Amino acid sequence: MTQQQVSDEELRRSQKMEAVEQLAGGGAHDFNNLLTIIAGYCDLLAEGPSLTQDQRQSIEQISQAGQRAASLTTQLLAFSCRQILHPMVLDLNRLVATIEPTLQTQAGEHIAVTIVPDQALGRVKADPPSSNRSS
Amino acid sequence: MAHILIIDDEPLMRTMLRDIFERQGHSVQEAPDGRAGLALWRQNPADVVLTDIFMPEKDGIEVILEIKRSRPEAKVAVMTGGGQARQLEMVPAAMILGADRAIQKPFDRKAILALIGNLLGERASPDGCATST
Repeated sequence: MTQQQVSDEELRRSQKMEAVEQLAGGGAHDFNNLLTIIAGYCDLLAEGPSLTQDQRQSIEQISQAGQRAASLTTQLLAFSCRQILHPMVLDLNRLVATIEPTLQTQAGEHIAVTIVPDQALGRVKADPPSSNRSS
Repeated sequence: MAHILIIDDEPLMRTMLRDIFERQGHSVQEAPDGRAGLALWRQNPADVVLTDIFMPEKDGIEVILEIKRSRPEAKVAVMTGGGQARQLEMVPAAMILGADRAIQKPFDRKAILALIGNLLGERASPDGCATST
């Protein structure tokens, strides 16, 4: 496998992980809404004064299943939280310089990559990994 | 008993919360987004406003800002679905902008009643899980 293929594979893997994390985060949000509704109605049903023992047990089973689902949602959330951004003040010239070898690799041996830093470039506040990915 | 305004874009969430609060003797109004919620608020200011953060039209942050600007003593609590990083980041922002309480979904009946009780200055249940970040 060439260096180019390795780089392409890493890029594909990174994009796939990013998509999965976004999906997990969005799913956790929707599940949390639904689990709140399930838990709320279980609590209201359990208040019924004329419930049989079987009915109470059924409500308790639904409630417990909801709690287990909430636990799974927390795990999904923990997974997606890797995407939380930590913006900081960055010197983009320096950032671009650090990825010059990667750019050169991706461009291939027949293309020369030359970076001309702009000395007048201001600093920006951004999340370093995001800036890196988008460059 | 209190008058509670629920603002959430999930209809089942509003219905469930209405059922819980009305069984406690509270009166409830509900709205599917911040714009409709603020319209109700202007007509009939509630004792407690319980709002989701991310909604169509006006979001929960705008709801907090407008209510606190017109009536600083009004009680506002935000609900967050967690889920996405930006939602978690909005909770401290909501508190800084004036929200009195925040509660993260999923929550149960005991937790939401404890939160409302706290906001109303009542004695909350000792094991209530409402958060006051």
